[in-house]
Amino acid sequence: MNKVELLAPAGDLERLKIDLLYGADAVYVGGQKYGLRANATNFTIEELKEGCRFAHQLGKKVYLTLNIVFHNQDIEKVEEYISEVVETGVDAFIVSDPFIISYIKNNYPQVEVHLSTQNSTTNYKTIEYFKNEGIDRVVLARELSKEEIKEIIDKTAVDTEVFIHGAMCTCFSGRCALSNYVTNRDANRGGCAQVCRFSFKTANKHDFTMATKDLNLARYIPDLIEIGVKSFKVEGRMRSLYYLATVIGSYRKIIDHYYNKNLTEEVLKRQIEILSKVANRETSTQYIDHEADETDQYYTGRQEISNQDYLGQVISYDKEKKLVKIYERNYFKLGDIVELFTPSGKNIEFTVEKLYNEEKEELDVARHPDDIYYIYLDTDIEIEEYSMIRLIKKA
Amino acid sequence: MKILIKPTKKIDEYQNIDGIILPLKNYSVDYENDYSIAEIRKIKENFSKEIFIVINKMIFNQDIDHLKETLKEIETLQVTGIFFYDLALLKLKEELKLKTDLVWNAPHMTTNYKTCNYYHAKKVKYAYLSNEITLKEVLEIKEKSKIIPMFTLIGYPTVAMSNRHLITNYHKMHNLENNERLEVEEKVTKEKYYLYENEFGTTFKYGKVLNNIEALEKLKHVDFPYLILIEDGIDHSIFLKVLEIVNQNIEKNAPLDEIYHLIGDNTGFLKKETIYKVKKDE
Repeated sequence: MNKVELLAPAGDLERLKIDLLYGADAVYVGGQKYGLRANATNFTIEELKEGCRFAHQLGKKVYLTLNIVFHNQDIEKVEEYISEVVETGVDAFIVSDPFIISYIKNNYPQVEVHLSTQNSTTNYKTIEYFKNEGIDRVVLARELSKEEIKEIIDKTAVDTEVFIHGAMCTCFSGRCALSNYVTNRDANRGGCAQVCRFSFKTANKHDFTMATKDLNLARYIPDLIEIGVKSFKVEGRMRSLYYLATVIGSYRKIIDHYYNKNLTEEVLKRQIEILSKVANRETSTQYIDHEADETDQYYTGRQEISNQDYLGQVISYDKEKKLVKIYERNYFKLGDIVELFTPSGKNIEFTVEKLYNEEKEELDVARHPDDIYYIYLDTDIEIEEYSMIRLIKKA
Repeated sequence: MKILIKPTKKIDEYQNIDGIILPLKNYSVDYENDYSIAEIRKIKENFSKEIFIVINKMIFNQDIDHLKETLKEIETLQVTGIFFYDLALLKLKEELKLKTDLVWNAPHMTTNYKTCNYYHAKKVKYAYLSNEITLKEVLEIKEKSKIIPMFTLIGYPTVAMSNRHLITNYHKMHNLENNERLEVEEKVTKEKYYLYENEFGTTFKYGKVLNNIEALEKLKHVDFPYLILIEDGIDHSIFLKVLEIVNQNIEKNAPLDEIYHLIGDNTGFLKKETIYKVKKDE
């Protein structure tokens, strides 16, 4: 049986590795050019090669975004870039411009082309058009209900990809130039300044805001699998390592439990709780089950919470001395209940009983980000590279 | 060079135009007023010049069947063309073997000559170029593309479109009386934006009229095919005066200066390239 694909965002090579180790089946990345997150670190050609090597060794895939709205100067140089990228081994391009789709299908038929959400595809007739153009997959607009998605799948038999988690745009993708007008940063060439999260003055005493809550479709995973969605996409190429590890790890568990026929309410609730803790905004199901309304937005300006739960990234574990070595990320202290979680899905909850600095001097608190600390932990569980520690409960 | 207008009043009030743009009821967004097919048919009886119909809303599954019937009915009108956003229309034109020409009208995506040529190869006759490209880019598209380009000379530019009812939501959350329109001001730039809402969602317009008459000499020089003047939001008598001055300039190089007094000097992105890669210290 072909399982649904879990597709994760990777702003750089480290994030790519975290995504794949924590359970993503594929990653989508941006190159140094032509992607809609121009200000992420993005991948050089060499990094793309390495990323593809890493992914393919695990039997996983890499997709490259080539989804800007091209101006004349961009489109003149893109063909050479496409040729370089194909050599790196990417499995697909994510594209919105139909000329580019046509060019890739005609010149590199061995590489898949996925129609970007930037095209805001909302109906089956448009998909029929692009199916004739040779696209291999459609990333659907986020303004669709579950019923609309099902109808599209039933009527087109084209592989569909659906966003399941992360930030939402306020306007239709590709139909927004707010950033261009307010900040002169081109929304459709990777420079979006997220103007939809600004607040604006009005003639009355209430500022106008239009920021949307994040999307969270954890509860709809079974439904979406059952209607035939092929790929679940998580948003967030510029998100932190901790966020990605947590979100991908949680969705991995939900999907695997579903296929193992043991996705209980308890399992689902636990993963939803983890997802809510790592979120820096409130979430909603947006369009999947209702016409988006006032409950899917914010009204009191930008509302983002800095996440203090991420305590550290594991460097190594000394089984003999029973010490976990970490790079600290947020303050924690003796008595705090924490959880170490690994890429392969293991979770170890424990109380911080002993804590040491890099010189192995005993401490009460870990207070300096990026400093190295040792935490006492007695466990037989294999602690892999890229494991992390989060706060469960303060002392 | 042809002048198309998007009117807000009766068509016979406009002189010296080559055509009109009529947004179709139930199928258009971003415009103040719209027309049913019956109304367009009536207009056509007394208007011998070019008529373009706008079908630019996002098309959802439930729209497809009715859209098919609508397109067949439009075919009987024998209008000059249909402005379209969603490629469902391109597919339907092919399926239904319709002869009415199409105008590629994705407001922020008609930005390069190669994609214009792609659409031309797909038998799309016209392209309404984006307001967010420079004059240099416009002229390059004219030079290198086989598609017939159109460009906004005058009009409030559309900035964004959302499926959400943002004005209703705002009023509801703050217990304010609802209204279909809202004027907002960006706090740093102090620029105004006009929002208005219909059943399809919310449109954002920039608060200053786009005035691209500075480009007129160069556009005349290359015999640019179509210039568009959008009346929405502009006082009718001012719009008529602007139209008159533009025509006089095209016919006999009359000066354009008065237009600046009438509608300001906002040239949008005509001379200003956007950036998208921010320097690290910004």
